[in-house]
Amino acid sequence: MLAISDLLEELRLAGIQLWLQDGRLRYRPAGALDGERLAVLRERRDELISAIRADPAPAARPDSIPLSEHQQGMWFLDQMGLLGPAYNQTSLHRIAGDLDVAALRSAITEIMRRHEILRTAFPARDGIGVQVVEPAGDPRFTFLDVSGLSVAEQDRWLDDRKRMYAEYRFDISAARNFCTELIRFGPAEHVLVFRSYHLVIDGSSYAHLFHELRTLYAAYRTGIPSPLPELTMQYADYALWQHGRDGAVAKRHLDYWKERLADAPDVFDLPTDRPRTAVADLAGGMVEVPVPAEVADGLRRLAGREDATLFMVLLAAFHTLLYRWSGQTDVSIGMIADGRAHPDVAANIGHFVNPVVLRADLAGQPTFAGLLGQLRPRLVEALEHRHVPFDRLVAELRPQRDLAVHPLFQVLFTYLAAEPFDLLDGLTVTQIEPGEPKAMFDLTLSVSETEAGDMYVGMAYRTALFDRSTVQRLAGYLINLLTAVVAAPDVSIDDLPLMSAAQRHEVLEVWNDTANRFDDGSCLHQVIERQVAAAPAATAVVFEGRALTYRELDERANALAWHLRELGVGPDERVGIALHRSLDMVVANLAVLKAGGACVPIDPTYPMARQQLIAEDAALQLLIRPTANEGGAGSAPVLAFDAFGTPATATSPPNLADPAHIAWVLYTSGSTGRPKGVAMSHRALHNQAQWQQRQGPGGRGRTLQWAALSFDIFYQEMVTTLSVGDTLVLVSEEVRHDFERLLDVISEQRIERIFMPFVALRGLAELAVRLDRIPRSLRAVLTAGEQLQATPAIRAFFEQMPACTLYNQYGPIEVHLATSHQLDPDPTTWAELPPIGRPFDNVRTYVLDAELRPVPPGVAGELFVGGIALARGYLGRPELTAERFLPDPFSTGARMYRTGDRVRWNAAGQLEFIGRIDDQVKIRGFRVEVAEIEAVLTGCPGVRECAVAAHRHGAGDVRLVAYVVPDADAPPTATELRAFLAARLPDYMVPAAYQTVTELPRTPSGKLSRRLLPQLYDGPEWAGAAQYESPSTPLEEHIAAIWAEVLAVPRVGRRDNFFELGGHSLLAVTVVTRLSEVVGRTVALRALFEAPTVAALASRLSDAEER
Amino acid sequence: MNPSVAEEVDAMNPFDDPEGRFLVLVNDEEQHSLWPSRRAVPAGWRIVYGEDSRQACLDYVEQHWTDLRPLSVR
Repeated sequence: MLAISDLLEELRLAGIQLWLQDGRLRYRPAGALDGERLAVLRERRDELISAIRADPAPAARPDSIPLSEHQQGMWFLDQMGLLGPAYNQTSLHRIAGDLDVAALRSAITEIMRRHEILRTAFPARDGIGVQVVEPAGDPRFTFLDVSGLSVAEQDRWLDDRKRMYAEYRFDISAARNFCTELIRFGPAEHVLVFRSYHLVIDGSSYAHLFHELRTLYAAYRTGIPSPLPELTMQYADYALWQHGRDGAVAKRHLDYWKERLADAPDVFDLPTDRPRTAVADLAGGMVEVPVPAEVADGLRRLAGREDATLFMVLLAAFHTLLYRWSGQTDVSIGMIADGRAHPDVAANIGHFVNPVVLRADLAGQPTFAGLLGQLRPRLVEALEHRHVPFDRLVAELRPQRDLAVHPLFQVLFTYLAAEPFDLLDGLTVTQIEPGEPKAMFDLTLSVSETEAGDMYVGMAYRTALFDRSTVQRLAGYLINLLTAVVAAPDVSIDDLPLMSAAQRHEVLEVWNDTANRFDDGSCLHQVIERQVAAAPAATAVVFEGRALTYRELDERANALAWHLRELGVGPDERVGIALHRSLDMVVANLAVLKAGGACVPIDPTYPMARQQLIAEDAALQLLIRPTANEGGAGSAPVLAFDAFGTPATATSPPNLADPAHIAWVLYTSGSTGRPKGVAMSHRALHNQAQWQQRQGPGGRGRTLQWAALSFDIFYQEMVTTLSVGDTLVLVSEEVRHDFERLLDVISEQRIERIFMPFVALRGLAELAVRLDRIPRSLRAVLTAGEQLQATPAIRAFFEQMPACTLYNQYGPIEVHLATSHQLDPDPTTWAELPPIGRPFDNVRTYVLDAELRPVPPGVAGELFVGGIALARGYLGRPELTAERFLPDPFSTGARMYRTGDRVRWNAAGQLEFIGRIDDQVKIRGFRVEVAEIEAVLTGCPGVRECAVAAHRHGAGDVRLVAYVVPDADAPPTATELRAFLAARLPDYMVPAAYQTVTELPRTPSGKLSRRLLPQLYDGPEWAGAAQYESPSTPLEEHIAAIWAEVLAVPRVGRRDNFFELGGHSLLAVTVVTRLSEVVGRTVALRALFEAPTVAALASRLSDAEER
Repeated sequence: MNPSVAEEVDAMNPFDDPEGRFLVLVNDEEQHSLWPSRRAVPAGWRIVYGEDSRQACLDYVEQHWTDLRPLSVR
């Protein structure tokens, strides 16, 4: 049997009102009860009468009228100053024709009289919001006349006025939350403006407002009294009724939501164009696109066939879009339900909205029809259980609160079968847009239908998060998705296309249209030999005051090549080269190529064990060392360079190599600890060199050899320089790392071209700018190997070198280089993180999802590289090769390399690097790219370099640690660093701890090595621990001990702030739970938020004790 | 206890899925590749092994692809 409260609720929902009259139970409307219900009513009459006595219809008003449940949350946010004008509701209507102003004013006056809520104030009493209804009479009606202005002046005036409407701050403690303006533009043209605050009106109330206005205006024009029936329940009475209700019903609804939303992710992490700001920025934009008529018709038919509503079909499509766009399968979408919980307020104006959450599970590749089947009961249930105040739901479910995100849902779906306000008696009324909208949610999808049946999709977005072009694309994807759904509702939602055929063609073919003929019959040494023949006396290599001409280089390499050939070196045979930077090193590399073999550079500074590992793995035919007494590495015979001397031979041994043979094998760290050798062909390098030559200043020039010898860039430097007859300038290992001496070399040697990874480039740029020693001979800087950041120093560096071009290039060793982006000559236009550009000639790049399908521009995916740049594979490692070099499904019989890098296409067809797939971390549900934090932290005064890493503290708690190399003169404190980031980044992106280091660990090629970052307990400075004071009372000691344990920090002082130490509200719950056990009574969560230091919390708890 | 650097959290690449079912494909250059068996076999490739577990496919590759040179330069 139903609980009596449930029975009452059920009757109310069925539109049946029960009341007592002279002690007898009455109901209306007459005849609304069927036989069954009537029988139940009779049977339980006594129970019902006593329940209604306990829940009386509000006749007498108490002194203090509470806010309705719908209003409470918004009122609190307003009091905290978080809303400002965000909830201003402005609606503007242009009226053409002979307007009867007196009748309009009377109609407004009557509407204000009828609806108390429109003249209600919301002051605070004892910290709680109350409703105070002002007497009727003042229509708050303003008449403005701008007919004396020119049309242009009127337009400008209206624009200014709209801005005022948008920025106006209602004082909600005064009863002026609804007012009307009538603006006269001319004898037959007026603009009617309703200005109000969301606390007194909601979207569905406007239909009532317009209906009453239409009815009353028509009546008053002809002198007829109001034909509208009086309201049976005012908003204040409704609020009183809500507060007097039995809690059992609310609990039942709440239980439903607790179960439905259990373990939902705290945030739906949309891929945004920009990271979130610390506090949500509500500036909004709007994109609207039509749904083609045949698609709209198809959707209606689909709804009919699947026993669903059009609303459900569109909602399911929105879920699908968000899933496909973000890759997240657990998607919650908000929906604003009409929360009128009592039938007597059905025609009231007021604030009745209740957001509900529609959560869908999109895992397991359901079909669209299957998804509809899943959502259909969910939607019905959500509406059944909609009568829970949203802030109560939030309080119960306690999602991670963050001022940057809306709780429980971040995207909203609304469906507007708009009831247009287009006619007043004899007049034409058209709506005017109120100006730039505020975006209360990250993204709001609205679908609207006109009376004629035209359907439009609108997307409102936060401009702080998204570019307009991104949202336009997204709207286009939704249309494509809807089109596909209509055609094939039984296809898996994973296989529905987001892109149109033309867009797919663009990303797969147009942006990969890189085929370019090149001379692929030659090997690298043959290309260099052509330069020897063309300009034998030109300088090929320079090192520490000594030089080799092209002829000298060639003849020395020939002599060595003949010798190598005698020792058995031929195509695909590997020769180790363990030489320091020297002219000999260049000779040796060229000689190995001429002999037909493959170079295996072994950095002589590596530990001997590592050198041996490489020598053995490469199965070297021979190892070239400077002298014999440095010993071998593994079983390969050693060729001592000093013993070989410097003989010269005019002719090269006959070429035995094919461009498909390997030119070098480079070793990189394998995940198992065993290095793996990447085997690269002549053809791949040659293609790269030829493409490079076509790139303007980046293609050639007097080049500084800076790259590590075991790095693929070394071969790019060597081949791109020597294949065009330019000069390669070597520097010693010592000079390489001393940027001041490096600047000397650049200016003495008139260097035109440098390849440098980002960190080294930044170091060089900072020094050059600081010392005002700009190397003006430079014409091209090429950077690769690390995410380029356009730091202030790098911008300043290039601003002072207008003739120098910066290229940002990308490519793992397995493809050498794959893409390139030439930055704009004006550094002020550079993005913080410049793109990596487009694939170069004969290379194809694909951005694919986990099922190897191309993702649309703007969506992150894994980068796959195909084409001629691909290495042959990992030397002697067929199984590793087979899992990284895959069949290219878009090019017959070809392979593509799986890079493990996350990228996305931008709208212009350039690739943007996001991060390593492995580097991605989730902090409290948010996907975080640590590079983004590093980019911001680098801008903090006193920070020279930094790195951010995520550390795991037990299950599910991942926290960020920042490693900072400070400026010696002004090292920032942890508190300063935290404050700097907290002002710029959302809370979840602000590291909990800051560790000062003298330098960041690097791999030999100069890249940051996160793996080698020091462990956390080497003495990090915890923000907030600046002035340590030990706990002074037993209670303080208890609190400090609990925090230290929960926060996993070494010590906690009495002045330390829980939140600055990295605490967040999930951990706060743990703290108050444990604290409650210690003090033997419940400690409110709020206490910790209001008294966040050890001392403050202890004092608050002991004060409470005494009271 | 020292905290460990956090691990990968996003959806696993299908090629890394130890529970996945795979094929071994070969092209005209006799280059071998792993391929998830639920996806269509790309043009220009033929199945030489599988479907089978990831490890079984990798074992096959290790035993049968003994010369990594493309067929045209062997």
